[in-house]
Amino acid sequence: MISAAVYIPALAGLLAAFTTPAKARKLLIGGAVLHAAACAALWLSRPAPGQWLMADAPALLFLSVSSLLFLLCAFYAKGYLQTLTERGHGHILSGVLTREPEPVFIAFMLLFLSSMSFVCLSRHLGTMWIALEATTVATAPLICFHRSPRSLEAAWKYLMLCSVGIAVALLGNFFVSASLPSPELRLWHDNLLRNAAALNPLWLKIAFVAAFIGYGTKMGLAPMHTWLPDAHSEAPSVISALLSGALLNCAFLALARISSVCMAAGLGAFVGAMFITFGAASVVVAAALMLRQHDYKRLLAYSSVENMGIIALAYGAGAPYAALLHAVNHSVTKALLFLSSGNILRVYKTKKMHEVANLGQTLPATAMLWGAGFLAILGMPPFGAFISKLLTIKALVGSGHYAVAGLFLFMLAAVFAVTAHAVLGMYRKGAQLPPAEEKPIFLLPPFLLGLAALALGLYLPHGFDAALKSAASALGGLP
Amino acid sequence: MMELLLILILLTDVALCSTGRLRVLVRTAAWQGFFLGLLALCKGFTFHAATLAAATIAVKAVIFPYILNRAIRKSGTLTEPLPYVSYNLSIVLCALMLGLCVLAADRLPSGQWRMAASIGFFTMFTGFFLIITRRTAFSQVIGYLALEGGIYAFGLSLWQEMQVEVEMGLLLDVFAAIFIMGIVIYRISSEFEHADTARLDFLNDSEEYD
Repeated sequence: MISAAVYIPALAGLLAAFTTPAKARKLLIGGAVLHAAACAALWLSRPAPGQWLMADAPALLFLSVSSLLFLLCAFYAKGYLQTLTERGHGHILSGVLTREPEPVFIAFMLLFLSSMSFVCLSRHLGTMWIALEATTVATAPLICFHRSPRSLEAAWKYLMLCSVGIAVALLGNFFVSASLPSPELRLWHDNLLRNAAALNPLWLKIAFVAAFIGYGTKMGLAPMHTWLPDAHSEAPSVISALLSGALLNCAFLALARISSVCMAAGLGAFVGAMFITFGAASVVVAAALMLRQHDYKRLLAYSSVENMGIIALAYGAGAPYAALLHAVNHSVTKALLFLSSGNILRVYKTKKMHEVANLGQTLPATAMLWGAGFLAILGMPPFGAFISKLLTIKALVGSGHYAVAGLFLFMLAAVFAVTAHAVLGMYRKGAQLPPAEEKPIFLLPPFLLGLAALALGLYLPHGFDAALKSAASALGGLP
Repeated sequence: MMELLLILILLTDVALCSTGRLRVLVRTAAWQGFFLGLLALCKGFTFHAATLAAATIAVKAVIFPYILNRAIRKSGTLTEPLPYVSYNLSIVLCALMLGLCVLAADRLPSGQWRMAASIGFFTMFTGFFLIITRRTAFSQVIGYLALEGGIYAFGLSLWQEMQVEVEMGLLLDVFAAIFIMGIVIYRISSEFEHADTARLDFLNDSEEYD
């Protein structure tokens, strides 16, 4: 039952690899819809944990976010692939003509969804590791879909850094198993949580450090973030949306699963300090690099580093609820922004912000979405990120991290000023492009994401709030 | 038997650090994979252990060398261009690290498999060392393989018996990773006509790119 969410997209992906482009597109949409249906069925039935998979509150939360994002991105991707075929020309910037065949691209997208679902639903630290490494393998070919030199370089850095990082997390798994009082306990994380008091704290501490470095690399925490701006800015925009919106969250979930075991074993102070240190470093590094950014997709990528830092800060300050709420807000908003950036790139054929002007006249609908997305990601009310950032500051102050809270506020202000200045420049008067046609398939997905970002700030439905709370208590390490 | 295998793995590590000829590197890595596969049998000849050993040897000693050699042929690169650290210095650093790894493994609480743990650490170090100090994509992939092999050896030293599903999943993952890395190197070689990662420097945060 639970496994349907893993094998439906995997099967669709394998089929898609061996069909015609038209059929592969149908499989992409079909796979995404079925996956969303499987996800809804899990919410309704709440099945008991199986041997390898379980659908507890955090798993369901992260799975649903990934599933919804993928569903919207699947439609956008369909439009994207159609335009590529119609125009027949190559990469929009470099003009490189060669690219991976379309069925292969779709197959890897679906395998990516499958491995991501596997990360969310894993009950065992070993399979969780396997699934997270599988996401790296499945996404690298998506990043270098166009075989342009820049995207190949980005894909290589991504593969190497994330594989090596995740190998360190595997070492962490072995250290966890070394901390077990008897080998029969095995690495089921519900089991580990129940027996946390019996684990050897020294081994567990080493395990946590290794896992933090490994999964932290994949999550994009500074200073292990160096692959992220390259991969997220060189990938096709629809892939960037999925990487930023869905995959970074999965890495956070993997890290939070191990952290919750460490917290339950009495290492809470150490775990908190690690998250706060790396979270603060990420916010500072991202802000500093956004300051001199000229490329709007790289700007978005660094903003992802910043937001992962905020999630780490909230989690480290003992507010897993704020961390999860921010994770959801960031997913929705960043996907909206990356999809809109694709619309801009398709018309302006440049990623440099100072070469984009008259956005409001050339692409009126995209310009609205783009502006709203930035207001949301910068934490303006009434969007959801405002609430989660406020909760993060509250948690930092409440846990006595006054200096970090001050630094965080200062960085938020700096990012706000820098980003607002850069983005407003894209709306200035300048060379007039003829108004471009905006197809609904490129507007509806980001529009729905924008509505979600707004809804998260205006009103949290009771059921969603309860789901967030139970996920937060499961990841907070409380017994 | 186990001591012999561990010493052979140690020797392959030193060999990996001491040469820049890519085909020799691939062959050495293949031997290392073969020894690592046999290492799984040292805890007793069970069906489980035999499956794992056979799968490891098939993947690491047969398939990987094939993929890498094919990519090397395609790129036409036969030797490592001027590594950041000379081969002589590499060997000296290796010897120093081996001492540190033995000391570190000595401090581990776990008992009888200390030697495997220290060789595991040393192999991991070799992997990191290759990734950091070598320039071609091939040497870096081989470094990644050594890193993974070291973790595997270390895992064997701790684990009484891992679930067979997890072990197979790990192996499948590493296989897929190397497969995709092979393809990306293949594409890089045809696009850039070299596989020197030090010359992959398009992407940065400065204004004047393109």
